[in-house]
Amino acid sequence: MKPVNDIPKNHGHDLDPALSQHRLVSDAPEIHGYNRHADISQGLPVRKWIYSWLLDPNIPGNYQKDIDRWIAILIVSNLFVLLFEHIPSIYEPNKSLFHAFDIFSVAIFTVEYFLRFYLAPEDHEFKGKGYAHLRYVSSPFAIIDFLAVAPFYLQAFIPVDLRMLRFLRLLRILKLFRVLIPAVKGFVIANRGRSFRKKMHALVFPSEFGGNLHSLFDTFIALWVVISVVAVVLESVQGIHYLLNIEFIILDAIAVGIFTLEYCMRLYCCVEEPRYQHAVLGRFKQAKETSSVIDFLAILPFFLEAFLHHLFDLRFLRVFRLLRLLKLTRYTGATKTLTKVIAREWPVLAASAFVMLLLVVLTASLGYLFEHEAQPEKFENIPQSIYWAVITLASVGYGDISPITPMGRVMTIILALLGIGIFAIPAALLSSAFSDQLRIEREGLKENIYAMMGDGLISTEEAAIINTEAKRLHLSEEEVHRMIEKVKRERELKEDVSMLPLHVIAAIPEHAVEHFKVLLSQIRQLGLMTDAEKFEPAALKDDRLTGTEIALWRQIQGKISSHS
Amino acid sequence: MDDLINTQSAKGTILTLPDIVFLAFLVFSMISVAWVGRLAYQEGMNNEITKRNGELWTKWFTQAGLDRGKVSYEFAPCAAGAVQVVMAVAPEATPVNPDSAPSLETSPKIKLGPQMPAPSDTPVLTPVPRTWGPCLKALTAQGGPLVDTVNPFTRKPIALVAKCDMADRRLAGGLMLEKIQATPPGSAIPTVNSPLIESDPIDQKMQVRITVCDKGAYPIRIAELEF
Repeated sequence: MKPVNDIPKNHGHDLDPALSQHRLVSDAPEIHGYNRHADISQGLPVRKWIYSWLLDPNIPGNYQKDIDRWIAILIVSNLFVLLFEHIPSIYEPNKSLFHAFDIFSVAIFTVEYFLRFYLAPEDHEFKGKGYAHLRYVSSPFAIIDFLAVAPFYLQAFIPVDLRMLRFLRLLRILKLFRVLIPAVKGFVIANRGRSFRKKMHALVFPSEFGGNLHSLFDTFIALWVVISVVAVVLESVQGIHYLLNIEFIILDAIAVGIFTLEYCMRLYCCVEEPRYQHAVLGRFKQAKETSSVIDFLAILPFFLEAFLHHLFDLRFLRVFRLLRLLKLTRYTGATKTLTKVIAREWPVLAASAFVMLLLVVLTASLGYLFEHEAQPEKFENIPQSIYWAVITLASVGYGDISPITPMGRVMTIILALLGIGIFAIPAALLSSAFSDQLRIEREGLKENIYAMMGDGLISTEEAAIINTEAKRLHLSEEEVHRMIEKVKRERELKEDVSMLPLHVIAAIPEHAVEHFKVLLSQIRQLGLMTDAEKFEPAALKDDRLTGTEIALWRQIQGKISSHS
Repeated sequence: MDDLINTQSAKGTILTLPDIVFLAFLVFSMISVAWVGRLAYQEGMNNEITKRNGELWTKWFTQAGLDRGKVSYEFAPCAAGAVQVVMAVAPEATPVNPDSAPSLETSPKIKLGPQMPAPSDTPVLTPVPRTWGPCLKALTAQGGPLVDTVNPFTRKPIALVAKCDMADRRLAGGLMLEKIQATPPGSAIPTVNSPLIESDPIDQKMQVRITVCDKGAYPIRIAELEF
């Protein structure tokens, strides 16, 4: 889950300082940066070249982010593997697999350690300071990296107790600090001087102050949603539940603890959002939001089951823990689009539902009429016939109830044919409305880009909005580029470049040339329209124009006369 | 304004009263979660003990299933085969209830193992199949192999139940033993399960299912084995 508000912020690092504040229209391909290719020269020294491709955080499009992501996944996987190793029923039969995974992890971490060691002189942290390798080895992150792999090699020389070894392997989690510490630092800097509640808001809600820490928070919550939902699904498998009952209980308690914390934090700091500013009403409004209700339902079964289990059998509430999956809808705009589509098409959908209802009741009644006498146990009454009608109309056809009379069969044929058309209407409606909605939203993005380019530039903030929207609307890099180019051409056709501020025109050489041509043309027009005999005396009077300027004027006008 | 911000940042984040109240509430929430989690854990542990009880019974039944057909099998009340009972009348008369028969220890006239032809001048010994009742009593009696199995929910010796019924929470921690009998060929279902009752004969090999009832009296199947 990439933080949409952070994507563009990293873009400006390697730009020329003069252009760092504003991105030029001609740089449009760079806006949609998450798919762009790194611009790394082949002529670089090998070490520098490897560093640029693999570890330099300031080059968009290189593999640094991918490497960080996979290393983080490997660390988290190591944590889970370590937990599973403590469950004999899982560990004992799969000992060799666990060992193989350990070897694989250590191999990757060792390669990473030596790679960073080799590339230390290119690292911005140690570059130009002398003894770069030594500085790297003694840096906190390198020590953590070393501790992550050292126990594995240690056991080859010294007999180490298995429990001790597992504890030492737990140190691998510390490697996550490589991601966490810079994020925390960035967060602290961005929120310096802000109140506690505002800081919490920046952490929990998307905002310009959240930075990477906010995205890590979101990722953490999403990870726990996935873990807890997978746990609920696995709990339903009797064999697994039998073995891991206690582990599931502990996991659920931790998940509920995390979700409770998140829910309380959201309710407390929501008043920082413009929509929920009132201390009580704002929070109440936030609590009524669908996402908050989902958050609440995600933790409710845990408490209800604990407090009311002696009164009622609340085991069925466990299924509601699957609702936690809905928490993920917060991180995607697709659900909102679908809701909009359904709301927009509701009248047509309702009409379609009405026709379906009519057809079902009518068919069920006819089915009852024709089949009741032949099969009284199957077509006992109209409600029972409704089940048959729906199953037939929806083309499901379980076959548990089927007509046997000739009239009943004829009706079933008609019903099946009608069903194909009638039941397909809502699906077709939704499908077309969904693509229509996407088109409208893409048009909206295009209009936004058009407005953004009113000054001829796309700022970092505007690029952030474009990136966010492009991701939400599933637009590829090429499509965004094409859209920007189209908007650019439309703008060029409609508007004169000379309407732009001079410093903006000056920033783009092509615009400057065009503007110069316009100015030249205007001077020529001025020469044609003014009285040339009166112009020069007026210019010379009181030295209004210098000699050079008069000469330039004559040259421009003279050229005109020579051409004409 | 900037000075104010700088001063504040130099001092660090100042917590206001609402912040402190919120933090206190957060701590309270976490303690609540931990407490409820602990309750759930304890309940879970009780379920685990119940399962261990079931496994203990399973282990004994499995081993007994292998050994009890042998002549050398020591735990006589659960041995396979028949018990020789002294009959006061001819064998054709009413059979003696094995439960009321003299115990192995007190009656030297009861012989175990293959039946020998009775001499004509001695009382008539009649083979009567052993039943589950004495076996169960011997298992859970003082000194029996399964006497230590305690119901974690009631802290009382484990009780056999006919069915794990979710409507009756008192059954939590109970043990359900069922005999699995094959149905005649052509039946809709291949087997039929019924609770193992005291009068059920155990002289032959039989299929047994062991189930325990969890905290909500839901059944947890432990094993199906040959006894």
